[in-house]
Amino acid sequence: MSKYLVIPRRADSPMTHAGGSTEETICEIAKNLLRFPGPSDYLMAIPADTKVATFAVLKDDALCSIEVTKKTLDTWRKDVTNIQDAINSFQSARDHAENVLDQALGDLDEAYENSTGFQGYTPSDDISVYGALEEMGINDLDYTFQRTLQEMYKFQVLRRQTA
Amino acid sequence: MTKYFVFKNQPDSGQVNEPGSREEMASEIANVASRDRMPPNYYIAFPIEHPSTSLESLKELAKYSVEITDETAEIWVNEIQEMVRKAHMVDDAVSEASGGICQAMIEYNNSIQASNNLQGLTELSIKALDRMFEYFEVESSYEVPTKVEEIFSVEYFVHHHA
Repeated sequence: MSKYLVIPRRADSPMTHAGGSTEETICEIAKNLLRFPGPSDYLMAIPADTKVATFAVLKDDALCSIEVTKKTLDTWRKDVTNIQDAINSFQSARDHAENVLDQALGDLDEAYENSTGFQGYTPSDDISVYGALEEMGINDLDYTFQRTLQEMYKFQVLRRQTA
Repeated sequence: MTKYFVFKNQPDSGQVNEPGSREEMASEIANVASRDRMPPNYYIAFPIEHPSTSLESLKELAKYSVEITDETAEIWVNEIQEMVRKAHMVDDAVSEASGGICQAMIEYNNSIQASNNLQGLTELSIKALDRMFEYFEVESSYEVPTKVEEIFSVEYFVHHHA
């Protein structure tokens, strides 16, 4: 298990991590878990047991700490992107479903409202994709996944990013 | 008030309901009450007093009877037809929504199964999703047919063949 601190890379710093290096992957993990708005090469990873890391902590530069093993690095490189893509697709499908149903139900609600013999019933009261998925406990896939990753990488926030 | 017997139209019968007729209306009413969304002219209707009724009855017994008055015919044209169309659009939306979400859930489950170190994540239940959309379909398609049965005094005939 190796522990790293992640710090912001200075804009004028000529140093970047080598492609495929552990440090580069850690910056990608940190970007994801911090929800860092910029690209991952705006970050730098440094081993936690170095003087540079100690200095970064003292200067309050460190954004977070992350611990990795070969196995968890492999997991990031091979599995996480696929699962994250699947979660994003699920959320898109859910939003699309809600929109499609909203529109059709809105029309049906209106027809009921304007009728003489069918008033008093609003179909959309009983049909909601978000509501039903909430009841099924699957509206928060992304949150659950992020929590799993945070635990796997022993992710700790050290300094809140400023807006 | 006129009462109609509604029969399943035989594909080779060569008969269709006359467009715009009360017979066509009775067939559509039976179709809505059946909740099956069959194609036009799947059913054919005859007034009970019509000479064809007895002949048709011999070939295949009536599936429904429907009562129509001038007043209820007007409700059908002015309100119910549009409502049925919109309820069908909700059914179609439910199918589209269900298909999209189901596919995304399968892909999510596959991505977990294919992973090396994240198989502990909980897979999503397709069965629970099916139940949810079945409930939606029932909810969206219950009211109109139920009211149609009531307004047009629709009766169902169950036949037991040997």
